[in-house]
Amino acid sequence: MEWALFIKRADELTQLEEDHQCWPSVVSPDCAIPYPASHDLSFTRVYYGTEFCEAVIPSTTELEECLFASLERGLSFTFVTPHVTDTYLDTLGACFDILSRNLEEAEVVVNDWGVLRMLKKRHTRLTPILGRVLNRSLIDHRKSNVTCLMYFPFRRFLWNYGVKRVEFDCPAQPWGIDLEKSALGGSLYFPFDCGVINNCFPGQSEKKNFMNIPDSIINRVIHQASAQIQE
Amino acid sequence: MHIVSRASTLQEAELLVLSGATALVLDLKGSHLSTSVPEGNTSAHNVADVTTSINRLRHIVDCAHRDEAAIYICLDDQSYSDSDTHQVIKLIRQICTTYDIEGILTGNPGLILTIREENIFTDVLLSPEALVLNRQAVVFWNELKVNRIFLPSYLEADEIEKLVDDMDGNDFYVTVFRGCVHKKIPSINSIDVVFCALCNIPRFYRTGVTAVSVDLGGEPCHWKIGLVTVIKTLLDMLEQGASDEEISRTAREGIECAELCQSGYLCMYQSSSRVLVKEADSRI
Repeated sequence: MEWALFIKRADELTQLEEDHQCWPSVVSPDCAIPYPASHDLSFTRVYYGTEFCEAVIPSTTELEECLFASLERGLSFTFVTPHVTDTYLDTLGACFDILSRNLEEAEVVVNDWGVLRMLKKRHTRLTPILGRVLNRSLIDHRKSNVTCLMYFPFRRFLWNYGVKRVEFDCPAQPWGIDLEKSALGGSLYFPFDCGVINNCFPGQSEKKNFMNIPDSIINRVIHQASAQIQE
Repeated sequence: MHIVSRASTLQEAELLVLSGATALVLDLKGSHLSTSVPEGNTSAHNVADVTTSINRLRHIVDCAHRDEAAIYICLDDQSYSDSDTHQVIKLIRQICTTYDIEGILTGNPGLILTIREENIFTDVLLSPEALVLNRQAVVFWNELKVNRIFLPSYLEADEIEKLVDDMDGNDFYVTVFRGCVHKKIPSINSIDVVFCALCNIPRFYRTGVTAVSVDLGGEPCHWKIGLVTVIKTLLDMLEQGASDEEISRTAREGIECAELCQSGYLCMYQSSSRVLVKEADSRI
């Protein structure tokens, strides 16, 4: 099993050297997943990028800085991409060019079907990894979890696109799939899950939107609710 | 422009079609699939949505076709397993040939690939959960012979306009109303939120969007009917040459929440939220 560290900036890599004990402190001691003591860990891979927001895709300069910092330390490199609109497709394209130029083989986590197609058509040296957004799953912490990977045609589709591995959350209950039989590798993220509910809109949780609802409206909603209860 | 709504019962389907809906989406339950979901894992079966038994499908299809409305069956479930592979195909073949529906609503590329390989001649309406946000993604689905695409609700109106302009030969569907809040009893922990884009209908109409959808899931029937009626009215006004201001005013009167409209809290497809994120990012 390989351990990978998800970093946001290149200088975070220095933490590994300077303070080897610091990182497990962010993991809750109540975390259900047993992890080895920090001195037993040895990270051999770096994850860099963003899974969920196109506005924070790293620039090519930042990517190069992080890539070279990883290579200097002998770490493998995985670039993580979010789902993107057309505006940011070119940004990702430039990042993929850098990866193709500098690495014999690099992994790219894709969370957008368009990005997966782009990799297959234009950047064949990069290995696609199916991200957590595209690995649609139903997680219920009381029961075993289901994922779209349990359906054979979906797995076959991924093989056709050269997907080598699939990313998973790390919930309390097991996944209903045997990865060994599925001929796909798996990565587990912890300690944080990626959860999406029905009415979750990127940016809609902006404080301004919520805080600007006038009191009169809230009062009216409550008034209507109590009226309906009485009816 | 078509009006799409979810329907659950025969009566609801009849009323929605009479109100102006030209396409209905039905969730299918009781399809005898032996999914590997443990018994009691109800979340895997979309219980939040009102569902339709396959036995009642015939009546709904007849009713919709009488008024020239289309029927799409939603098979957007993540819980299919290997043992379901043959049964899913058998089911799709059955509902497409026996019941003569217009298409399947799904976002599962594996399922679509199988439909194509098994030579089942049916349209596929791509679910918004397939997250089509860019041209590459549209081409990706076109390669699977999917040309009807439901766009997700968090694209900006400008981006929708560009996609529709650039990707000829595709039919784009957008949601113009989701959820409900202003007439719903707040639950213990939360108040459901509503998202509305009725004011954007004139823009979508001019852009060439194929259909607008009301996504109220399992909400009471009279709300769906009311909204479909409002949208039908707006489209009729557009065809008669009404201005955007008139449409906007009628929409606000129709959903009876002018104050919420003014707050901006309701609005979908706005660019403001993403601009705020970018500004915050640049400050960091």
